[in-house]
Amino acid sequence: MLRLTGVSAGYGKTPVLHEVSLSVQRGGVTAVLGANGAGKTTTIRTICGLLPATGEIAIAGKNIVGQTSDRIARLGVAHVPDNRGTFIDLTVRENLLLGAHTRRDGEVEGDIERFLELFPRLKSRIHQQAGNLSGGEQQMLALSRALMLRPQILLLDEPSFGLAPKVVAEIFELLRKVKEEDGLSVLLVEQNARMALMLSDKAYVLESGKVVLSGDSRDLASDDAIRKSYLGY
Amino acid sequence: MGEFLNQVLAGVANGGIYASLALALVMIYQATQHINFAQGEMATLSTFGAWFLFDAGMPYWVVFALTVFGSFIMGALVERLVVKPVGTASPFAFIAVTVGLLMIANSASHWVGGGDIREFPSPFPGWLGSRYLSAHETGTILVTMIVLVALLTFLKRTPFGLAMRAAAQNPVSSGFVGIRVGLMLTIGWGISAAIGAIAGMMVAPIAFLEPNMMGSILLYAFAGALLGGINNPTGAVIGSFAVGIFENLLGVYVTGSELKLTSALCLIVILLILRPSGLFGKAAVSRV
Repeated sequence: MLRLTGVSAGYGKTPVLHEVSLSVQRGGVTAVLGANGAGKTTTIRTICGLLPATGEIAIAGKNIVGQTSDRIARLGVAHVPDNRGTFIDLTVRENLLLGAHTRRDGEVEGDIERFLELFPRLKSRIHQQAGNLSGGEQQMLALSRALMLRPQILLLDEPSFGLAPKVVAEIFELLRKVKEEDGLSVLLVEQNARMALMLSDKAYVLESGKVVLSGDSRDLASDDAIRKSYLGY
Repeated sequence: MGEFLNQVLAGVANGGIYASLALALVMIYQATQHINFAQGEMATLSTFGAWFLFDAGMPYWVVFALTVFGSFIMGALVERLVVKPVGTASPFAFIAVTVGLLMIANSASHWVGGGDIREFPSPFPGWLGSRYLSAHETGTILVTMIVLVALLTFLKRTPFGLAMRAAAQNPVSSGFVGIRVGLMLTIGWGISAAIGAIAGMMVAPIAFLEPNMMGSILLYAFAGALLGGINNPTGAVIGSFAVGIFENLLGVYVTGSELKLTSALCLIVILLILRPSGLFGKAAVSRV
């Protein structure tokens, strides 16, 4: 579904990613792990078209390097950014409607209902300004907004960041559900390696902008040496 | 008491004019989160265009439609050719560009129209008038209300209007949901120039058409938009009527007409200090 081949990217003249290659299977979940500053967020931003890159980034076989972020979104790539990307002056409902901006089908209202059922806390705040939501609620909104796109692939940047463990569990549970029901492909960037390895089928470990380790998530999680030296748990 | 009522209604008439331009300011703010200082002068230029179409013998509403459409194109081109290349990296650059545009549009008006003061036709039939408001003043208020309802419907009830507000508030996230942010800005400039053109054609029969026609009206429209809330079309219209009444009563009973404009400026300063989001505006909230 998504394949990066020899991708290098950075901010201005500072290179961050060096020849990164990774892939996400159709209907699969790939986790990108690594410490702070390893290049995880940069990887996602590069895929979204926010940073100039060399190499090849293919969505369903189509190279998207050099495309603008709105065109990439219209190819079916949804993104939950690390700052959650909430439209804080707009209402919760308007945020959800914006997620469906690219859609022309008649099922938008039905999808809104679906996410409000899944996250009842959003339902009670549907007409409030999104800036009033708590961090956890904003993360639920960000996830719902991204899924409103009915994406081919979902890019998730640290969905657990700054949230209470209970909320994190809730969000991962929803991800599992949507993945199974919709056959969604997911690229998940996480510091919480334990959660990420449980959800994913494949994982890559980044260090200083390079892939230093990759393999089946189950194998990585069961290898004590790898867990201790790379994943820190 | 009758005299007082007369003065209030004269203020309402002025307020209708300020409100029509205030709506153009609200539109550009909704689309860019900035104020276009050239809004008034661009409207004057549009109105000159309309004058030449009348001069060529075209009927009123044909000219009206052509001017609104032509102004949309002008606004969109200004965004593409001048505003976009400068970028929105700094708010200062944006202000400098719109002040520059103000001077360019003013010079252009002088160039096409000279310094002459021209009469401009009003489309409204006499029966719209009453003891208190002339037909044109009543018509202006009606047109402003129609523009207000159209603008509210567009911004709040259409996906396109929602996308436009989103693009102004959070361009990066807008890209992530597939909104063409650049296109939204271009169209936003176009729509606000079109609304400005309507304002110009409403102002010209009263103020007479000349290059500096909109100068002071823009200040009152600013005051009205700030009073009501620059991010709230209804508030901006109510605010403009309030400013119209306020400055008229103040001019008649307190300060004399020389200080009218000063009082509008004082109002702007006081509002910016006391309530920057306006009486009806929403203050931005955020929780981290």
